[in-house]
Amino acid sequence: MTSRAETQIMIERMMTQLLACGSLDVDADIFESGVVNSLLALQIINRLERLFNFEVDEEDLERNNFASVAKMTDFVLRKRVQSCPDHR
Amino acid sequence: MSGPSLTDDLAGEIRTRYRAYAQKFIAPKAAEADRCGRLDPEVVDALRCEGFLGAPMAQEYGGLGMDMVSYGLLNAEIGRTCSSCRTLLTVHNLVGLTLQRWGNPFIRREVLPDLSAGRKVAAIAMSESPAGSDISSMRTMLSSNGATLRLEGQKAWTSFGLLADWFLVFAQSEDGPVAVLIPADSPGLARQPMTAVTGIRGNMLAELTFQNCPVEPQQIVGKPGFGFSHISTCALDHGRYSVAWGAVGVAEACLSETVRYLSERQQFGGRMIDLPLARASLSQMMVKSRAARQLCMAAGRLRAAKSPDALLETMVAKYFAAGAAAWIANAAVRLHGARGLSCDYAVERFLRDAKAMEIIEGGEEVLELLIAAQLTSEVLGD
Repeated sequence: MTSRAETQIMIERMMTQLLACGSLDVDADIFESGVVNSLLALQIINRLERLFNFEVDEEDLERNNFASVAKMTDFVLRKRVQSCPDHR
Repeated sequence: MSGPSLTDDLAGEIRTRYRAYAQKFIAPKAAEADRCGRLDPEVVDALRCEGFLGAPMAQEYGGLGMDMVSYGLLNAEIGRTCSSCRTLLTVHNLVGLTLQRWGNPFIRREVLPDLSAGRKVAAIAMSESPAGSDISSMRTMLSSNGATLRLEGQKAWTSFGLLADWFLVFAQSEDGPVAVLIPADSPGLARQPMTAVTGIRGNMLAELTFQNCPVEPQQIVGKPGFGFSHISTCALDHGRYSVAWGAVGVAEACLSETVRYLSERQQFGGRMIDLPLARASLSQMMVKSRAARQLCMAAGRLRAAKSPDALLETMVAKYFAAGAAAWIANAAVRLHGARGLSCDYAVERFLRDAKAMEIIEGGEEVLELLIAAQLTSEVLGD
């Protein structure tokens, strides 16, 4: 399992590609920046699902889960814990 | 049938089967649907009996669980005979697939099984008279009045609005854009037919009016605030895929009709199909048609593999296929001469339907904006 730091790097790389920018403040709110249109918002979810092999559910649709690289990292780590057999 | 992809041989077999089905059950009623502005209930029953209403929906809800490539082939073969019937597949399944993706447990339990089995029909209510592609300017409002939620507003251009049992309605709310699922018999909901349209005339268009329409929290799809960004984007993506394949069907139907016509038509001492200019036109039509099919197939395979790239490739496929179908239908009408303007020849209907397909589920200019933005991101993001 990848560490938090590795997970964050993967998400940061994903977001810099999607936003076509060289670098990104991991705490910057991507929705407030105005660069995220509706297509990009769904792409973020699709790519997170592919990258970390889980499914984003209806109850996961919270702005806070996707607002920044750091928050996406927290979200991915929580989803991993939830999908862990010991957690069930 | 599920699975990430299909071999070309199997895709060919499936296509032959769907073509035979469409010729038998859909084609005989296609001109009538166009003329009367409604689908014959027997056609809807034929779709239902075969499980095609709900074809791509999961088997756990009672759908066929059809893989995305097969579903595309189905849209092409039905679209080849009747765009109104294909539109029913489009709107019903785009709602069903969106609910399958973002529906809450109530919706999954109480609504999805009926939609998946085709016992109930669903439609999408997004456009408004003042808000087309710019959905952020829509005025329909979901507001809370104490513990009760109420929906107020008007929707236009709702395909199969006169037939649907459920509507996926998009609105504004205090918490941002929201999607709600409204039953057709809901108090405060009235529907009026919209007629005199150019193409896809059998799709039973309606204008919907919501007046103090009660909404339970469990009717909200996804979460408030995500209505446009995630729910409508998901729905439109499924719609574009279906329309793209439908356009392939129209393009191929125009080609077949034109080849048959030119083979029989005698002009200048011989068959028209032997005239060099006719052959040049046919070649151009065929190449565009084949290219459209290949783009749709590529999008279908990405969708089957759940690739994040499927969103863009579906837009590319819809953009090209709809444009190609309109171009090919226009050429087909031209090659038919005066007969191409007669409702006795199917190409006349195909041209009107193809023009509608250029506009619905993201018109050419809207898709150009989105595709160019994606290209920029791809090039500069590397």
